[in-house]
Amino acid sequence: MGKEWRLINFQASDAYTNMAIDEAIFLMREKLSLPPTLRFYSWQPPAISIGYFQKANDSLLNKYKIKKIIFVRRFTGGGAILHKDEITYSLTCSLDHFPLFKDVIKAQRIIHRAIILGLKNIGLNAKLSEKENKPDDYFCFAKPTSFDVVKEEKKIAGSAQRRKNKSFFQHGSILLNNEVLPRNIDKKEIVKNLIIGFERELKIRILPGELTKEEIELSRKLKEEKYARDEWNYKK
Amino acid sequence: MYPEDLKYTKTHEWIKVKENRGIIGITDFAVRRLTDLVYVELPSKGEKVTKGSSFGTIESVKAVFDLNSPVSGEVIKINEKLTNKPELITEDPYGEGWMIEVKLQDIAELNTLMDAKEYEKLTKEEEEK
Repeated sequence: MGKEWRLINFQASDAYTNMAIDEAIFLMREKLSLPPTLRFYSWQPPAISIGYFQKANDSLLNKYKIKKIIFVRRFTGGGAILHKDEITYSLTCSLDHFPLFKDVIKAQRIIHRAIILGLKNIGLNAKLSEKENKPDDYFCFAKPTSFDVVKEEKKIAGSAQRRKNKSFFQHGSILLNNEVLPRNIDKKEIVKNLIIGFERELKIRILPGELTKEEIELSRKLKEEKYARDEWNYKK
Repeated sequence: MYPEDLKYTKTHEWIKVKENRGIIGITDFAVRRLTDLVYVELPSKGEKVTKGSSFGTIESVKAVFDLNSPVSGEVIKINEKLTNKPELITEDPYGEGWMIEVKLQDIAELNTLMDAKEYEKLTKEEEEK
């Protein structure tokens, strides 16, 4: 069990839909005993996501709000991210599939190693940060903290988790602008290589799959009743 | 060793019961897995909690954890100090780091929880995995 993972393939959606799909996968996993799932996506239009506990009236976020860039509160922790020129992934599994994920830092390190391996395939040399910084900036990419993915000391991938009973979930963002990429390369091509990185590092097989009817239904409900609403996004 | 006067859940919460009231918190086993606790979100007074369901959340560096209630009932007190000093949970998980006090709906629910010895066995098994 746990060796064959489901892939929800790369697609671009709006901020509310993206967050609603992720939470639906997380909540349905235990209920329907779904396989571990890896999903890659991007944000159309570009948007900002903020961590579960972050304040929605922070002055840094307000600068973007003035420019009419929408924002959404995640159900995971961590700092704010501008989702533009990047790829987002989400990984959901049971802690029974991956007991090593019980430890927050170990899980983060393993997943980041998979990303580094994947990026290597496209000629991008990144590594785990050895900096001992504490995450004290509003924006996630402001500076690297321990075990973030860096390229020449610049943070290029960060992550945040949610845990409920035996369900594990990690969100992550990989920055892929012209400064970071070694050449002009299609996002789908990057995702293909990241998948290889995950397969090797986690010793799993990732098979193309689809969301179940239940996940789709729940994601629609979550979008409408939670993520598209101010009650949730301005909660703090 | 875990305090013997408490009852425990599989998800690492504890409850200390006196008559029909119970004080709830998380164990030092859970605390050890939470490096650098930063935020805690607790329910308000008067809210209902359900056994096995989330009554709040806690954020350590980059991870949000759901807190599960060991019993069903009504929240009658919350530990206000935790809002500004979440580190109390790490420093004193069975004392100053308590989270909520609940008026129990059904005392029989306590029979489904673990005692200190059973909980210790569970944590040892988890560590070996």
